[in-house]
Amino acid sequence: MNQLAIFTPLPPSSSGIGQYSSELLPTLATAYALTIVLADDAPEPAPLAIPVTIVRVSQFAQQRAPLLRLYQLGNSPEHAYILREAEEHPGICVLHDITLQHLQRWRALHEGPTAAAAYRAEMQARYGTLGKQAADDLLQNRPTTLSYQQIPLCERVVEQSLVTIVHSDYARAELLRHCPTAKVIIAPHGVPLLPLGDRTAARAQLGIAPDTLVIAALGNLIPEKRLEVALTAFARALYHLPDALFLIAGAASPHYTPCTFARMHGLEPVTRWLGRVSAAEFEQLLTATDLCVNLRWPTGGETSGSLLRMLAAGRATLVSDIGAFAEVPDDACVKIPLGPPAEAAIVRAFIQAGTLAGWADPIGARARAFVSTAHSFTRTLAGYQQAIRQAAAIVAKS
Amino acid sequence: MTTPTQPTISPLPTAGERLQAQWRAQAERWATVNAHLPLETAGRLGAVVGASRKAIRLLLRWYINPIVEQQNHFNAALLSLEALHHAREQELLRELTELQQRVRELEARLTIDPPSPQ
Repeated sequence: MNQLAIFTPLPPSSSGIGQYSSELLPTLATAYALTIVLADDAPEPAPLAIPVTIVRVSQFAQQRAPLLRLYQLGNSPEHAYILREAEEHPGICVLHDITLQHLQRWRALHEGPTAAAAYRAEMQARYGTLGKQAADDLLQNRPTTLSYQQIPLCERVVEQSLVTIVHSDYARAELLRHCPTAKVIIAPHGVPLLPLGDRTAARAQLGIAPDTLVIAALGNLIPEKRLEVALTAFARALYHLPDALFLIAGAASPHYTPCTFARMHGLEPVTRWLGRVSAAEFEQLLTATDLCVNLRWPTGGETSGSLLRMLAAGRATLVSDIGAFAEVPDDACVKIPLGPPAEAAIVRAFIQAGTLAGWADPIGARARAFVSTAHSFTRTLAGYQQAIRQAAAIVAKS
Repeated sequence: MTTPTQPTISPLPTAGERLQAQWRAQAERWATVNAHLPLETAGRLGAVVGASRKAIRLLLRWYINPIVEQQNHFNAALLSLEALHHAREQELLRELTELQQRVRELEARLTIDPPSPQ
C-alpha cells in the first residue's frame, strides 16, 4: 500500500504537531504518495517542497478514495476534526499524548449538547462513578480533583485504530496500561539536526552581552512546563551570578500568565518575553542560549518537540526526571527530581552553568549525539513503515 | 560529654514560612490600587448622586490618577523587593543545609579516624 492520507495540521497552525508533520513529510514522501487532509477552516498551509496533494476534510469525504488513513492526534483544538475522523474511519493513529482529555473536554464544551452528553457517557463507561463525577464537574464549571493521567479518554479511538504509533517506551507502556489489547508501535519523534550556529553573532543580533549567562524556556507556554519553578530558582541563582538573562519564547496558553509571576517577583529586568516566534527565530534563540529548561510535569506521555530541538542544537537542558524525558541518557541532559528538592537542583545547575566555564558544553554535545541517532528521521520512517505494513495486513484480511 | 544535635531544616514549610506566605498573598491581593471603584446608581436619588460623583471624578482625575499610579509602582516595587529577599533567604538556607551536611560528614570522619598524636 503506497498511498497514504495523512490528517494533520500544518504551519502556520500553532500546533506543535503541525511543525512535526511538516518536517516529517519529506521523509514519508520518499516511500509513499501522500494526500494531506486539513480541517475545512485551517489557514492556507505554507508551501511544501515535496509533491503532495492537499485537500480539505469535506473534499476528502467526497472523494471516497480507498486510502490508508494516518491520524496525527494531539490535544490542540486544531485536532478536533482528526479525532472525529479517527473515531469514524479506523486507520493508523499517531498519539502524541497518551491523554486526550484536554481535546475531549474542549469538544464537550464547544461542540454542543450532543457532544457534551457523549463525553459524559464515555467518561462514565470508561471510569465509572469517578468518571461521571469528573464529567459533571466540567459541565457544571467545577474543578475536577482527578488528574488527566487517570482519565486519558484515548481508549475509544485507540481500540478502533488498526495500529497506534507512539514516540517512546514510556508512552507505549502507559497506553498498554489503559488499552491492553492495542497494537502499539514505537516510531521515535524525528527532529532535524541543523548546523550549529554562531553564538557570538546570535547574541549580537539579540543585543545580549557575550558574558551573560542566558537561560531559555522555548516552545508553547503551558502550565505543565512549570516556568514558575524555573523562575523562582533563577531568582535564587542570581545571587551567585555576575550577569544573567532568562529568555522566554512561545505562544502562551489561555489563562496562563507566567509573565505576571515574573513581574510580581521582581524579575522583569532580567527576563525577556518574546511571545510566539518563527522557526528561524527559535533556532537563533537556541544558538544564543547557554542552558535550556523544559520541566514538564505532569506528563501525558508526550515527547516534547521543543525539548528535542534544544538537544539537537547541542544545548544542555534541564528536564524533569519523569516519563519519556527520563529516557534521555543521564549524561545528555540535567535531570531534575520531582518534589521539594527540584528547586535546589535547578539553582545548582544554573550556578554551575554560570560559574564553571565549559560545564554545559559537553552535556550539550552528548545531547546532540543522542538525538542524531535516537531521533533520526530514518528511525522514524522505519517505525511508520512497520505500522503501515501491519495496518495494510489487517485491511487485506478484512 | 553530650554533643548537642544539630537542628535540621525541615522540608515542610514551618509556621513562620506559612505566616510569611499568608502575608505575601495578602500583599499581592491588595497591591493594585484602583481609584475608580464602581458607582452605585440604584433609584432616582442614586442616579443623581452617581452622576455627581462621576463628574467629580472627571474633574479630579488629573490630581488623583498620578498619585494612584505612583502608589501602584511603589507597591509593585515593594513586592518585588520582598520576593527577591525571600529568594536570597532560600539560597542562604540551602547553603546552610549543605554546610551542615559537610560538618556532619567531617565529624563522622573524625570519630572513625581520630587524629594521631603528634
